[in-house]
Amino acid sequence: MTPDGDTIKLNIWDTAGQEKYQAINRNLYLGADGAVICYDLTTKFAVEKVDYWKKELQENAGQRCAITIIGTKNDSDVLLDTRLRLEEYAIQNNFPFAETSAKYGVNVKEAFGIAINEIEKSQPGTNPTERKSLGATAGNGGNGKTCC
Amino acid sequence: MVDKNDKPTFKLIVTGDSGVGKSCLIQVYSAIVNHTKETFADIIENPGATVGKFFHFWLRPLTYNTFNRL
Repeated sequence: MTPDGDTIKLNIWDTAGQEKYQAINRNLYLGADGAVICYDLTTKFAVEKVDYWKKELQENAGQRCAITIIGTKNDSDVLLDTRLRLEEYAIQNNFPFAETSAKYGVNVKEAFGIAINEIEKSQPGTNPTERKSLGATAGNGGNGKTCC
Repeated sequence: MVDKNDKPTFKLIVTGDSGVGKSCLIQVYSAIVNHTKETFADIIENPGATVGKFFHFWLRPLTYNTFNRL
């Protein structure tokens, strides 16, 4: 897509899920504006797993990193308990929650849209529409600072 | 973060346990956003452990936050 005045740049980092690569992941987390924690809806819910990723992100990416929780594989045999408890976890932690099916492309774009919106909410002035209405100019990043 | 061309740049990390479908989700998203004809079967043809992979997109607000306007 051609960049213009209304575009944003999105850099997505796909990280390793395996324990042995976690040291590499910690370097990738640096400077992250947002993160998505994926959880397989067809597996038994374990709060310590989600807590682990939340802690990793908050410790290495910082508190300003906007987290979104995505339940994956909702086209398969979803465990209702997992779905409920994952959503409950998201609500308790004030994280947005979405369910997706990559297999059928269901809710994939929307889920990433939710993650982007969450970042924009956590960083006022970065939404292009909002920046225009605020009269943001090049260089000040829409932070409201004015000269003279 | 705002880059030198005044375009907001967001760094988004996708995490989760091994095998939950992170890579697949991103590649499907990439196919949708870039309007490629890659199918799910093509994507899962080459499974493997990801160590770290980078994807870059330009997005217009209307392409990602329309549901906010409903």
